[in-house]
Amino acid sequence: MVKERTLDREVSLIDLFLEEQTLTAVEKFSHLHDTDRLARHKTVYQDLIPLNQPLPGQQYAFEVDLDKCTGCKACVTACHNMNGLNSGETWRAVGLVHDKNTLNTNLIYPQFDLDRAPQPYAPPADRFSLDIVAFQQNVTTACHHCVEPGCLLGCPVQAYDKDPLTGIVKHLDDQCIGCKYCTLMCPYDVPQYNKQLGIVRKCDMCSGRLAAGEPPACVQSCPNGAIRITVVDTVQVKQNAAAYVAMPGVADSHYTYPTTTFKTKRDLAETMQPADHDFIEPADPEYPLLFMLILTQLSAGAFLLETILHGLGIEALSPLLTLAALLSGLIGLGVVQLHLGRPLFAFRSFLGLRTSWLSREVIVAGLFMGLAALYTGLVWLPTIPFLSPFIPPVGLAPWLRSLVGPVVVVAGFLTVSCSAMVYQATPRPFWRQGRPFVKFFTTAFILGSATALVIAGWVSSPLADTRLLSDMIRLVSGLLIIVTVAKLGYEASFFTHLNDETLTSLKKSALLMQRTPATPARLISTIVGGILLPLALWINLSAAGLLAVTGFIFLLTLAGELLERYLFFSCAVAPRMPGNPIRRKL
Amino acid sequence: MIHKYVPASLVGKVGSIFRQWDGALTRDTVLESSTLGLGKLPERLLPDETTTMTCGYCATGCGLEIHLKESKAINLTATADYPVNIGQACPKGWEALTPLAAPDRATTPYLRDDSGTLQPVTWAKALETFVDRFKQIQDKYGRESVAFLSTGQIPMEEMALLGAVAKFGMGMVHGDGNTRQCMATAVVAYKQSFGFDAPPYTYRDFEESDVIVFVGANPCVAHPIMWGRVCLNQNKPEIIVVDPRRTETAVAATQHYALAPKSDLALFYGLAHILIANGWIDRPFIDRYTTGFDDFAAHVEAFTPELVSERSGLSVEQLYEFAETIHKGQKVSFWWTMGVNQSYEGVRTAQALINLALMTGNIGRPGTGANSITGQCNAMGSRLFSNTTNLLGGHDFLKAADREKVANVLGIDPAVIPDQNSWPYPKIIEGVKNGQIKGLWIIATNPAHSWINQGELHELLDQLEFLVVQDMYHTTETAQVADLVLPAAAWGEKEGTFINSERRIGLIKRVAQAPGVALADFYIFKLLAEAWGCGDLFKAWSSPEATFQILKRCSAGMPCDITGIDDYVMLDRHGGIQWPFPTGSTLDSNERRLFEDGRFYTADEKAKFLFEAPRPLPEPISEDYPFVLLTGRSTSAQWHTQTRTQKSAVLRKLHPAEVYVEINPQDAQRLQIGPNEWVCVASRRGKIKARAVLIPTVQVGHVFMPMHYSETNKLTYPAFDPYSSQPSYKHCAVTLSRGE
Repeated sequence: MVKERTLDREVSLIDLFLEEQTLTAVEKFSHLHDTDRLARHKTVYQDLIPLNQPLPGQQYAFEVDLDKCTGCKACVTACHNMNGLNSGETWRAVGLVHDKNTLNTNLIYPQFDLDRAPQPYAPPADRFSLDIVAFQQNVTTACHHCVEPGCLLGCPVQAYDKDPLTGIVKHLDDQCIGCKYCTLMCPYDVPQYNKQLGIVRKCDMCSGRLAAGEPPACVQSCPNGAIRITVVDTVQVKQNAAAYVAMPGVADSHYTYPTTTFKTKRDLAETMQPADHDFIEPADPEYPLLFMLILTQLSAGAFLLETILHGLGIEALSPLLTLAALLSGLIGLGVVQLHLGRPLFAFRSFLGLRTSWLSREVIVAGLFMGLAALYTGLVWLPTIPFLSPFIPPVGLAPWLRSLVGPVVVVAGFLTVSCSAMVYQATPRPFWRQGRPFVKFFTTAFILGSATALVIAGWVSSPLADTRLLSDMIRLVSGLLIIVTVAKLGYEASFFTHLNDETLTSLKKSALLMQRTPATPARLISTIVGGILLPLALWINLSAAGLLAVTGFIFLLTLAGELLERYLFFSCAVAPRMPGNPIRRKL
Repeated sequence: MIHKYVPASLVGKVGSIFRQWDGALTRDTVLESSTLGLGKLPERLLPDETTTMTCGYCATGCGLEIHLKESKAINLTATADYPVNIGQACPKGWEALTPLAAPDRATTPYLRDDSGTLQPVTWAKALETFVDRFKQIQDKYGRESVAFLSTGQIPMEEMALLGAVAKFGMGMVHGDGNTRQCMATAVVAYKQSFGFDAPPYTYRDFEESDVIVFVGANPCVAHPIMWGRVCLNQNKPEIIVVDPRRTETAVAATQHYALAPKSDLALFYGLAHILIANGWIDRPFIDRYTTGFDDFAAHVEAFTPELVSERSGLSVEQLYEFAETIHKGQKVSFWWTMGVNQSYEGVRTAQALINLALMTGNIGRPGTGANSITGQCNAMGSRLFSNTTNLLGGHDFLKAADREKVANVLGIDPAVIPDQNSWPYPKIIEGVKNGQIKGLWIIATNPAHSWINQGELHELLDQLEFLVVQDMYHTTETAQVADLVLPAAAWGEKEGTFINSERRIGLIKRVAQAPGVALADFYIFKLLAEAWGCGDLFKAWSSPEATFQILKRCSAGMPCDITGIDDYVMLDRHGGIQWPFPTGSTLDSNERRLFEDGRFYTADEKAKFLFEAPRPLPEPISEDYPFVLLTGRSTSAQWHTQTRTQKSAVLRKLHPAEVYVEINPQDAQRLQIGPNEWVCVASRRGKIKARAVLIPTVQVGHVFMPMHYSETNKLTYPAFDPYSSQPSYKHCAVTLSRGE
């Protein structure tokens, strides 16, 4: 009885307490604070923002006093909160550089000989010397608001604006289509793709706050006052580029002319390395881009082969070959929509034509597909009997076809060239020195040939001029073997970077290629599909055998090129600001 | 041209289809002016009002400005006019609201069913089970067989109610806090040397010193806002760091002494030796305000520079440079944290620092002091009001007069107050081991992660007959092995006060609602008292603020007297108030330090020189275990066992996800360990795998592992300071090998 009564009392207490908790305590503390609190805070940061706006030829820039940056990372979280970023989204980062891992040479390894080792452990007095105890330096970094911003120049839709007055590189969020090309173009890993919104966002130096005479979030929140805003002369930035973002392991400043200065009394570049220097991690394989490239290149190659065969008088393959080429190209362009965060606005992609290779790629590829459709139509029209009466002057079609054919091929290879430039233009060393050109053109030829072969295999038996066809098969397979051998040789030569004395970006790419099973898979499928099976085409095969061999040639070379492109994306090492010893995968 | 024929607005509209400068996405981050003096913020985050409260992570005790919209917390900034942090906060503070919304909050009580899984139950069932099981255990094994482990993370009103309910109501004798792991050493050192647990400083001292000595402390990472105060120092101070690692603070300092681990006691005796030998001491101060100096001088006679150099690995010249810097300083302050406290001889090491301050007269003046920086947000509150080591208000369980006084304030029978001291944390754990403790109640701490030599603790928790864990998450390592989980409201969902490292009492407020039926710890203790049948004893403890008034009265006449603080509103208005603040005090300055009159809290009002010969390392390196394992904090974005900080996606980005071990590149080369490779780290107690970070900031022969990953304490060696019982986390012998 007593127990029950207590229980009742408890239960009502539970409700009472839960009820009490629904009231916030704020009513109780009437607003005691005056509203001009920032004024008091201003004494802390007033020296950290410039008094005057930039004059013509000048712009705002970050200046970091590294001697004051001690790695607390308050700036990262304050920027996140005061800009209302999404969960986990950050516009500022703090990395670490430290002495190269070769120091402390005169430290003696502890003596493990128990007889000699004093107890308690006391190392010899000369073991330590403060001069040589290693140095570490935290580095806070955000957008460098470059004079020639890679993001802006690469953007296909003009979603970046460099403010003419302040020089702040601003991202226009509603303009962005989420193609992420800016994230490849920036040498500092600044623009961040926001999956939730389907767009990229980045630091705008809190331009709204600056305009109102308030400090950016990071400037205001650094407990040590390490970050400030200065006014720099853009001519000076270009003339003296190496002085800006002077940091070990960071991309050459001549690429975009960043404006941030990192002040320190120490010479960082000479003796130090980024803490993530040794960290090697595969990049995103970018599957939609990967398939788009392979399929459009197949298309370009197939149209090339068709035009050559047409010139040689082989017509049997043309309808299927053009159709396959057209479909491949269209699917390629369709697939790439999966890559976009906001595909609805993809129509804006022409806007960047003046500076963006991506814009050019989109326009040229569109043109290519338009011409390809016209050409395919011209090839197919005569084969559809009931349409023949409608073809106006008889004989115009073949004439038109001979005219359009080479134009399609040129458009196709312009597309391949623009694609190559899209990557060649980025600061990733693995994508420079013409590598995209060699890879993309050979892919076009290999897959174009393989497509022609499999179609030849398909159509050969019921057709009459098998003689001509088999000559053609030998010719194409021969060329395929030559190009494949050359390409594999070219790719193999890249592994010489494994012998680079320092861990260069290219050595990292080579190491990544060495480590992934995609490399042997690529090698085997391509040797079999691009060399061994084409050799088999030089012996006499039954119709079924021919179809089987060409079919495997197509599948294996396609697999091989897809793997080649997988390696192209996943083994590219992006330049970036110094990171942390163990990078976090998100 | 086109404008002639079509309206401009249409041109604009069509134009914006192609180039869109504005829209929903843009406005998501466009900054608008707030009228509350906060500067510009995104429109959707503009608050209706703000309120200041103390941060719930570390003992710095920053003021956070909580932004409220429709009375709910939506964001925060660092309070611009709070005397502690002056508009600054560390990443944890900036992200303080995020962990409240974590999906694994305990929203209901959980009880382990017969199949061994935790099942949701009602509060009524939870309360009944708590009482039945603990009473059964007490009936069978005696009252002392049920103990509690509390925390430095809850407000002092809650920890006081817990201590009172458990000891006065439920008859428990043993209860301690996780504060044993962080500042017990400083407590004992101060009590013995000064007569009361009294860190003497105010943060202003960071700005006023001309020599600042940090020992076993890395404020750049562990207390970044305090380091921010150092950066405001206009005296171009000499900053000395004593640490075996080249930490962030060591890099930022002007002098770094990378001593051999745990040679600190010998080092400070050696410095005292040099100071005395050169006459670099303040004889008038020593004579007037201290006792025991001559014995101390005789003791340090043996610590010649040569001997100390041998022990510490520092050169004789370095020792002289260090001593001379102290001598030349006009305002020298000594600061220490866990490098000193978490040691098997920590009390004497802390006192060696106190001795250096005393003998050079560096105490009681601006910019001076022997100053222990505390860890948790309310560790200082627990030191005075948790009713564990001390009776409420810094009183002594062993003294009848103290029991009488407190009983009077509380209006209870003095007989219900235990006349014996509680066992310290390690003794309670030992009690579990040898069967004296059968029931354990753990509040807001995570020993299954944090306790030294964790492997053994896991076995011991299994041996308990009943384990209750009260926490805001049901997923902590400890909650996972509990029999009963009680869901607690978090910081931000309840009221109370914290005491920060400089003795400042700061307020926390309810700005968010606890999820489900989670209740403030305060209310949970009230409910348990009712269910136990002792609720009547705590009638006067009707609310946190009523409890604050009780605690004020308990403090009357003590060094920590706070009877002059009217109420919560007064605390709120002034940005917190430091103890002491007895009735009649005026708040001329809100940044006050102790001992300005040279009177200490000992019977003779003199500070004592206390010292002892250094003892051998509990576990020296050997041929089988040739590396010294150092542990500590690794980033400002991680807090203790990460139960809260792990819930913030931004904070998670700021530190490695997996446990890692820092190794000097030379050692790595010797062992053929490559960067980022998995390595096996083994001690005599356990073996774990960790990622290798090759970095020359750790010395050859040392490795460093952060305490935030649960693996680390599988390795640590359970040695304890004999006076403070604080675990010696910072040094044990391990071996390294390549591979998993």
